Amino acid sequence: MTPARDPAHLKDLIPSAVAGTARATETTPERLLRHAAVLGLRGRAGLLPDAVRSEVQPGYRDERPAASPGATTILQAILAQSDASLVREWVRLADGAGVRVPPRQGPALLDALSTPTFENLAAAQSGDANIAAALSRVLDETGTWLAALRPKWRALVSGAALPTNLDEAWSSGTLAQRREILRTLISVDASRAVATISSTWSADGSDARRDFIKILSEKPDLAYEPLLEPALDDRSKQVRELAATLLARTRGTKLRARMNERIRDMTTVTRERRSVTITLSPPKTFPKDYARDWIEEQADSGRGHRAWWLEQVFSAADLSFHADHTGLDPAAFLEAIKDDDFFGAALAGLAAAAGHQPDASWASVLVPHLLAGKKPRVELAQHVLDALPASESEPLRLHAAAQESLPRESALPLLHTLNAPWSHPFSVATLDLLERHPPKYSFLIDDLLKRVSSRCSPTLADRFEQMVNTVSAGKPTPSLTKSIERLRLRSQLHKEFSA
Amino acid sequence: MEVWTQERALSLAPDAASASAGQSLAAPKKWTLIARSDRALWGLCQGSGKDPYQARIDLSEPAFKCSCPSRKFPCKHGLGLLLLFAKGPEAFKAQPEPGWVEEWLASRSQRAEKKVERAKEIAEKPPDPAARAKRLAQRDARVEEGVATCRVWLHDLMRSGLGHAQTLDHAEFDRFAARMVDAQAPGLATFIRAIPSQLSSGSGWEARTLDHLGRIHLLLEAASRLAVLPEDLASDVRTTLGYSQSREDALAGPSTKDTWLVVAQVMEDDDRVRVRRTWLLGATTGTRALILDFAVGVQPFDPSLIGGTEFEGELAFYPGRLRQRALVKSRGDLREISSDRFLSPAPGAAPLALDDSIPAMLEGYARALAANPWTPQWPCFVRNSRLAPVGDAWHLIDGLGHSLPISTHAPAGGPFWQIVAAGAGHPGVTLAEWDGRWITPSGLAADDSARPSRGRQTA
Repeated sequence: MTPARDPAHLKDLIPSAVAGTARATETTPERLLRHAAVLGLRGRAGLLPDAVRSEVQPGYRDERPAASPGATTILQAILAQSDASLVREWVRLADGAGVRVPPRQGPALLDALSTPTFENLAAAQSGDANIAAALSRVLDETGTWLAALRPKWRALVSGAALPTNLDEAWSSGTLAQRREILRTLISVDASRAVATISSTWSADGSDARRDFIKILSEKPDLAYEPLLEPALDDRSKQVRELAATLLARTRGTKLRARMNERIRDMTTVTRERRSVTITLSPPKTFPKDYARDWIEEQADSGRGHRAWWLEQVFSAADLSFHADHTGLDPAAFLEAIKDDDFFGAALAGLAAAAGHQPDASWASVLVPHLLAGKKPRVELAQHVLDALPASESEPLRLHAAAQESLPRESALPLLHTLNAPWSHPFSVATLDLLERHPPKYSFLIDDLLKRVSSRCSPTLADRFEQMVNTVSAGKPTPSLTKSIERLRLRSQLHKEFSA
Repeated sequence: MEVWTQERALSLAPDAASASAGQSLAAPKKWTLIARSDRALWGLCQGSGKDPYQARIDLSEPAFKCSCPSRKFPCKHGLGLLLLFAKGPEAFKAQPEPGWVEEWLASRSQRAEKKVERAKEIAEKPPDPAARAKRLAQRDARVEEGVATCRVWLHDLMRSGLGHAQTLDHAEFDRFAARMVDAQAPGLATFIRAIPSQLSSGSGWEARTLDHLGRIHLLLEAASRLAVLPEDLASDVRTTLGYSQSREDALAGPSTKDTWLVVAQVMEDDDRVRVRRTWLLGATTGTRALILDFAVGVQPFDPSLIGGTEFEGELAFYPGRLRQRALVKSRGDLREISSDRFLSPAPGAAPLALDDSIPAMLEGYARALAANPWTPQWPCFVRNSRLAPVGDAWHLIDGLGHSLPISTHAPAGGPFWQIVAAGAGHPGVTLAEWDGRWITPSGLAADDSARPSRGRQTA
């Protein structure tokens, strides 16, 4: 038997080590461990580095000056609270001031905005191009270089990148991957989105078809019509419903034109010397062509079928059609139908239409009508107001909330639901109302004041704190304390950037 | 007086909530009084209680004290006061120290004096060397029994093979590790507990596990020869076995005066105890020293060592062949340093003793292993290097194209992405740790002005 040669490398020991020395007769545990000790140490001491190459090119020099130490400290505090709406506010103000985020805060800032929270997903879906553009300016060269390193960061700046081989990825991807691709597509090119969906439409299952239309609904576009109009005859009920709803929400579609014609058929305009009266007469039997445009035949119990048909037609028609057809402005139009039996249904239909066709002149006459009477329809009114840009919505909300006939508990939601930074007067009015008619203490109040603290004018931080103390009888919950701190932080932030 | 930046003040916050709360208190109108002396800051802050809270800061450490009931340390008032000072020191007028500040400072310095006295006593009157030797011999004997048990266990493991070891429950290793703790060899226990993670470390696990077991074997061999090993090596073996090192031993040993740069800090979360390794570099002597700090739970680390600063001072080194672990014997004020400190030597000064390349760093590591084969981490201050991704894996790449892999744990937490952002792919001095397999980055000193501009034409 020849004496075993000493092993030269750790890997020479592996077979007997894995099998165990009980089976490998040429060595003993002692001998194996001694060799492992020597060879392991030799390997570590004599390690030669690798030589890898990285394809990533270094970033360019930043163009903007870095944010001031004060603004940076505030950003750190905001990031520590992981409050994405405050982060977005910082970004907007920093963009206005022409400064960039210091590199060390870049990763945390990108993380705060890309964590898949409900709020961030909503912000991403709203497709606010302004904040994306502001973000890339504030990130500057270093930040955009950094963001490109991770897909979830990259999507914030440039939108998710389309796969290089789109056809391949679309036709063989999982449903989740295809949804992502479609989201990206609709943000860059609506026609291409339709062409891509159409390429596999006939082979796709109803789940996929439904999901695709849902995604298209996030950003209505007339370019989708060639896909959606035939989808009104789809095998799947859900697909038909989604297609009809989306067509009704899109300006210029054939479906809307059909709805306009239906209104023409059910309205009779009578002009007397001074006044105009419009008689509403929905069809007596359910027209066959209604069903295809997803007008439901059966009303909920307690409602008339004809009123329900009329409401649906009004909700899917163009608001502007009424003036074209009758020559009346919104106020005069409502005046002309207000004594009709179908007025309630028409009002609900018009409000639904105004919920996706932002129009300040319609909103300004619809909202008072909706809030009048014994049963104010606050949610419908909010729906109408939510569709408008903040600058148009604010005065209407203030006016509506001041209506004497409105119960106070219904007035507050009209104000605090405004989903945008509030102007100073609007903030003052909201705090006034809160102070005079504080909501009864409940779990809702935490949420309400959180909302107020992130939208209210930051100059009102002191007053807000007083109000919270009054409302909570001097014992604010942790969530209320956080709201006070949030507004304080915003106040510091605005001061820092206005200095 | 020391210069404080807001960033440095915020680094003392025990958690994010405190940082944020401190931030909101860093406004003059929150305070009914703010003032300072040469050595301290103090202020009165109206909280929810009847009397305002008395916050005071001893700037030499810094140390905090406040009359509020918060269990956080430092509390938001202390932090807010320091932040306010960092924002605008001129708002703090120099005043004679009021009683509540003076008394506190006096009691602090009394305590400090007592400490010094005690250290002096110990230094002058070392405890009975015979008794000490006896205690050590007792422990050595205990450990030797444990080592013998461990050798049998390890041999059994090798006899049945690593393939079999992979099928064992992790709890088996933990149970045996617990026996090593009972045998007063907690360091050995740590090695045992780490075996399962080597066994399940994916492709190449066989060589990694063998290397690890070889290290344990070497430790067992050395542990049974403690009596005949040279004193410094015996001390390294004992430390690796888990004997704690005493401050007194360090203070009794040699010390080094220098300008010390706080170069890199790496935190590690054990189950209960968090460990912070702070690497210092002597500007003149080129000595690399390691300060270990331990903190339990949410307790903050000793706030007196802050990355990106330097101080004149004297370090005392614990016994051991490398003379690497140290404690701060005395120090002057911390001064902020900028990246330039690493990139170009101060006029008339010698350049810092950094690593010129990855092979140069590895050479230092090899020398360290030759002195102490269980050296767990090695400081890595590589000039002209950068962090760069290759696919999903990150590497440290030096100017000559040499590379080492970055710990896969790094991107998940710690300062990894901040370092990447600070460098934007350009080379600088990368400050990191090397453990024989992975690089753990801690900082980067780079010159932004050297970057090329994109040269946009549009406004």
